[in-house]
Amino acid sequence: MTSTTIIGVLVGYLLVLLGIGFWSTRESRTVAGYYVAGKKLPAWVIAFSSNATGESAWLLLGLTGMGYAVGVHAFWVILGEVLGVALAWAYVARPFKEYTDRYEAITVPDYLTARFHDTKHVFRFLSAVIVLSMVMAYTAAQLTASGKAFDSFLGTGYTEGVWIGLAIVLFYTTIGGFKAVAYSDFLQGVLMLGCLVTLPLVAIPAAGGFTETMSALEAVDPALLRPMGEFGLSLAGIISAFGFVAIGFAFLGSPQLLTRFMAARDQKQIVDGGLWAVLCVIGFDVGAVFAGMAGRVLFPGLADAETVLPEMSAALFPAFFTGIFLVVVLAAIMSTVDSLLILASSAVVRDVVQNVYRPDASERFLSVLGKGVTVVIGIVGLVFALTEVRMIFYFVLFAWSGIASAFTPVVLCSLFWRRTTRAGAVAGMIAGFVAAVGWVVFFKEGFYDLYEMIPGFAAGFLATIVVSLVTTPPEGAGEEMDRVRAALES
Amino acid sequence: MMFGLGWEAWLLLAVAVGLGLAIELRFYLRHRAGISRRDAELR
Repeated sequence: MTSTTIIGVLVGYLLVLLGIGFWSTRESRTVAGYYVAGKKLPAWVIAFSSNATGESAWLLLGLTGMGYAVGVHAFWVILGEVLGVALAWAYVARPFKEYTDRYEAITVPDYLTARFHDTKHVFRFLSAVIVLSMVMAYTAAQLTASGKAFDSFLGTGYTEGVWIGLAIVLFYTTIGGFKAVAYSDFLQGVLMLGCLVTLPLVAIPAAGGFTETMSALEAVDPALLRPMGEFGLSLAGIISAFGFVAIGFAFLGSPQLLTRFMAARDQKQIVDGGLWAVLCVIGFDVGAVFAGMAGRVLFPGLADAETVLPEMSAALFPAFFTGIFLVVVLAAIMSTVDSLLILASSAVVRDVVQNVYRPDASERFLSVLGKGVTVVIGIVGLVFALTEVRMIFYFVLFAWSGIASAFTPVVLCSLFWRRTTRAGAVAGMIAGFVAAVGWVVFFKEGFYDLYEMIPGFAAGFLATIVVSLVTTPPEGAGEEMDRVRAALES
Repeated sequence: MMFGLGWEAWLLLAVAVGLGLAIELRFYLRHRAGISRRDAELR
């Protein structure tokens, strides 16, 4: 009976996703339709879609686990993510949208190529290498999570769970393109928000109430209620807090999130969407951390802190809601995988095939090719997930921060510093990416586990600025920046 | 202490939520006013 209820909820959710795929079919027949939904998305869709894509299964399992393991110290993650989202919408989204509309850009490399007059296509090839390598690793990891989720909730077996997860995502992504991805992300974001707001509202009373929960945590370990955690006000504590804040930096310039700003119908959608996005991320993060803290009282001694959400959903809710929680975990996985697949497909088809080798190819041919490449990248991720290639899971450690470190410093300089040059931007992309990866491989353990996005961003900004100062900016770039600013002020 | 949680923790949470909302509300009110004015001029 329980299993039947869970399967019923799951099947209902998957049918809605398939319906969204069919509903979006018409938009996906052109390149711009397939990759940015024809730039017609409303505020509420881009807001929830960017948050759902930015968070992945880490929000549900990782951040609740962090609340469980370190308590109030995880508030620094809330600060970083809320600030990252607010600053991205208030300061990055509008100029980026204005520039990309002027250039008729539909990908971030499109924008960089036009912004720096890159006739040699350096940004397109560099972006393709970085995006493809990181996306395949990250997709493999998310598919692994899908296999485990299906297996643990429904007993399907790991391999079957991986296949089911990929088949569903590939179906609605290839049929409906970015429109299906964005609307399914909206649904998935709403489900995630509902789950994370409800969970602490049920768990804290179950633990005896708010004050009693905090007292119980203090009895377990007083450090759980201190903002600087077990380290106190020491170098290790400050580095740990700063690393938590830096998690939110990725919202400022990761290509899979910038795509949402490009896909907005107009500037008004960005003004309206920002409020939705900030309220949504507050609900996500505050809910996840307090749920984890209540979980520490209700389920002390868990071997793995990241299992606290499944434990709570099974113990505190009836079978129907356990089905909902399975759906929410899958939603978090799928909302990230679909966006990454379409980002990687655009890096191959739009940025390399269309703009470098086949500028005369028909829209129809390119959109079909885009769907084919989406399937191929998904299948490569599937092979890695099924064979459990160790190297891939090593790459996952820095996939998220690697993409963010490669793109964010360069995108921010290109939007706000008129002196930025093409050589500076190329150097910044390489330096940011290499520094983030190199930090994980060689230095991280020796430096209090400092989060790699901090050296990645530092190297990206430093290289962009230093190289730009000794080279010449593109002709007319300063005047163009003035025109963009004037358009945004008018 | 308030509801079992120290003032430093409440302050950090208030800064996290308040700063994000303040940035976004300032942005929203400023640009909504501009958009409304432009719409009125166009009409």
